[in-house]
Amino acid sequence: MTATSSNLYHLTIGQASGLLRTQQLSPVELVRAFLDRIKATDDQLHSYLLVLEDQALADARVAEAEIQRGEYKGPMHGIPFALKDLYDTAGVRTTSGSRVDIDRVPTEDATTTARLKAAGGILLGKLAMHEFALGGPDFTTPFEPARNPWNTAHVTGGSSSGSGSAVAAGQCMGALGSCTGGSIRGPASLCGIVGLKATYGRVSRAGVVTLSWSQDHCGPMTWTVEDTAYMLQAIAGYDPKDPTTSRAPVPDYSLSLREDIRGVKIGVPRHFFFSNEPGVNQEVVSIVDRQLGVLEELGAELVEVTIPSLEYVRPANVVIMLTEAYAYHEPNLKSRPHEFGEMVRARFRIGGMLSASDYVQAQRTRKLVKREVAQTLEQVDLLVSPTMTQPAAAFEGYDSTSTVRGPSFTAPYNLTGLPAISVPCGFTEAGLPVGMQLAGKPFDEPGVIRAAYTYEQHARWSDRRPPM
Amino acid sequence: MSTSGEGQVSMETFRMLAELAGLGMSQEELGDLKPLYDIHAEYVKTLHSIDFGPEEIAMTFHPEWPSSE
Repeated sequence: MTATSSNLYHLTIGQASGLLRTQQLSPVELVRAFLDRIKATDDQLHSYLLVLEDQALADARVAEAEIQRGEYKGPMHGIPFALKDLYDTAGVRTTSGSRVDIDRVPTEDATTTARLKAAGGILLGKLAMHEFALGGPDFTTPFEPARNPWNTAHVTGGSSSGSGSAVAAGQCMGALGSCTGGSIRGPASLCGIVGLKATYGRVSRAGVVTLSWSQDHCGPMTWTVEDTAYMLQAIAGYDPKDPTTSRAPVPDYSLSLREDIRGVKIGVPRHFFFSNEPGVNQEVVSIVDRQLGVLEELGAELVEVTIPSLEYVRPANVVIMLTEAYAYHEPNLKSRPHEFGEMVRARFRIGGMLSASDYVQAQRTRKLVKREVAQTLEQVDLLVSPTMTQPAAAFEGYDSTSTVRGPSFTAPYNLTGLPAISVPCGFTEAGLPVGMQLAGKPFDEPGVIRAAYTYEQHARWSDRRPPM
Repeated sequence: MSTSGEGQVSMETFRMLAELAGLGMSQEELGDLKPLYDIHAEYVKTLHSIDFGPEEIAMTFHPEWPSSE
């Protein structure tokens, strides 16, 4: 491929890493291109809460010298990335998108931050997010909500809103999001990029501000599946600072970057994910349905499956999320409630009004869902669905209860802790992106990545970029 | 599942729940929050209506003490 200084921000991590390794491209040149891109576009998008220009250029010069000395570290070396603003960054303000933490400066990096830096990544800055990783765009918080690069009159989805817009607009090569009910895959789907929530325990959450201890996940958001594999490789693995992380060995995810899903059995829970229930957009369903044929053409075997308890996912996910969030935020919620935005304050308060019995019942429901999904995954290798029930909504007339009402297509995998990816699979008539979700067995990130990669390479939706 | 309004509680019950939680909310705030609470109350009602069947499905405790090996 050819890259000029004017379009470096459209390189993928995979493309750039080859150029960096062979010294055809300097990390300094690459970082400058992204800083210029941020300056040129962020007035429209509001992806960034903080840009670390001087530090990023200094880090790029270090990376350049390392590569020139033959100390190339791997695919993330010299790659500009950014972080949702709930990832701790030593000495750098980390706000969680809230006035409550507006002056909070951590003294240590989150484990994932540190791992990306150790892999040679260059931190460009901190990204917009929905306050404390909950709800939707809220104009009562101190920060402008991020806007969708495909149409800035529309939301990005969230809560990793800035991660979605920044990656889609070429303001960074990859970002980390966090996900409790769909906050990685949701904005990935609505912004036309790839987002992966790995198995619970695969990626450390140490140094990442909590929403719901038992449902929070961290993961990468990138332009391509290949790039997601590289970022996941850098951050995955056991962390003594996070007791929920697994000691299971981390495989080489690059080995999954091959086009082959022949014979892979993919379950289609049509009754839930392809229904015509109110709140499920039929254009989205239709677009994803058509792409199932592509999976078949590529050699996968589609199997219709039924998972009755999926209808209980939203209630269980929401009750667990809000009660755990309330436990975490209770002191601030009582001592300085008006420093929270209206949307999050309201929802956290509801968490305080739920009972212990409600929480236990939600956890029992979670077990039921987990068991049924596990039984289904004994018959099939993966599950497929639309990622989201809707395309990106417009800011005008935005319904703040839309993230509470109706089914959630992403929450089943937060509740069960299973790996799930969103990969672009088309556009609506209005030109808004649609994502397809593939979920797999525990720790089968390789299987999920391989299927998504195979589909992506065939469908080539990633060739199309936002018009800005 | 639907959100039909079946799980709604009275304003008095709602005020009591908020007081028990120690949230210190004004009357206006209570009025603003009630519609959102009602959506969640329906979810709670759904959770309590699930038939788990004859098998006891329970939250379990995994001590995860370090191995003696």
